[in-house]
Amino acid sequence: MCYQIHYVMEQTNYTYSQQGGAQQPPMPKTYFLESILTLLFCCLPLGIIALIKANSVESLYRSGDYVGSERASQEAKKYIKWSLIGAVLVYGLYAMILLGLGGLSYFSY
Amino acid sequence: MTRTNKFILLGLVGISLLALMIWVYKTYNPLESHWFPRCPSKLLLALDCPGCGSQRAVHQLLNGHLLSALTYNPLFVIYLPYVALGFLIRFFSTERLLIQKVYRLLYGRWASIISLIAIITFTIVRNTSWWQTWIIHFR
Repeated sequence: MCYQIHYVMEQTNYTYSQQGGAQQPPMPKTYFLESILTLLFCCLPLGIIALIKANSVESLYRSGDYVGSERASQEAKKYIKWSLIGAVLVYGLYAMILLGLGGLSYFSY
Repeated sequence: MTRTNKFILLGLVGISLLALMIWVYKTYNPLESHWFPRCPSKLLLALDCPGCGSQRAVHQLLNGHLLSALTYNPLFVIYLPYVALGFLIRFFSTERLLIQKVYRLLYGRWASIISLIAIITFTIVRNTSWWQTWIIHFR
């Protein structure tokens, strides 16, 4: 409820400033490069979602929906964060298994 | 520990890790060694994902074989300088209008659409038997 009121207020603020020809807010971060990195190195599905979000950030910003574009940017950031956590988990687990195997083989000979 | 000291320490750790990885990938071929991580999609689905082959490509690139690297993963070899340039421009965030324009053109709205189409097409094409038999001739 409170969030909705805040959203409407912000939107009206932006539209007024747009009509008055006043300042535009700067474009939020698109996370395009990061999503390409996640696509190629770690988590394909998360990277695709992040890339689509990165595209919608800019198209929403160009259509004048600054609040929506900010929200899309936040969502892209969320997916990038989760894929980073996933990458650290997967590669960390791999390193631990490798070290464990190395230790086992050391003791078994 | 102050903030700058922390940054210096993190940078040193990062640079040494990077140097270690470069040394490992230059000296050992992922095709001949069993110690490199396999792609989960290759293990579970037996399909190549768009990032598959990038370790072999890095090994070939570090040894100076560009064509061979392109055969293992052309998309990765093309995207590597592109993404590096983007991060460089963003890191040295300049106020010069030309660089800003170039950045917006190269990494803007069309870049994400084209990348999405390219990555999906590449994933489909590289799993066909036609691609797999054709690309071997260039290795």
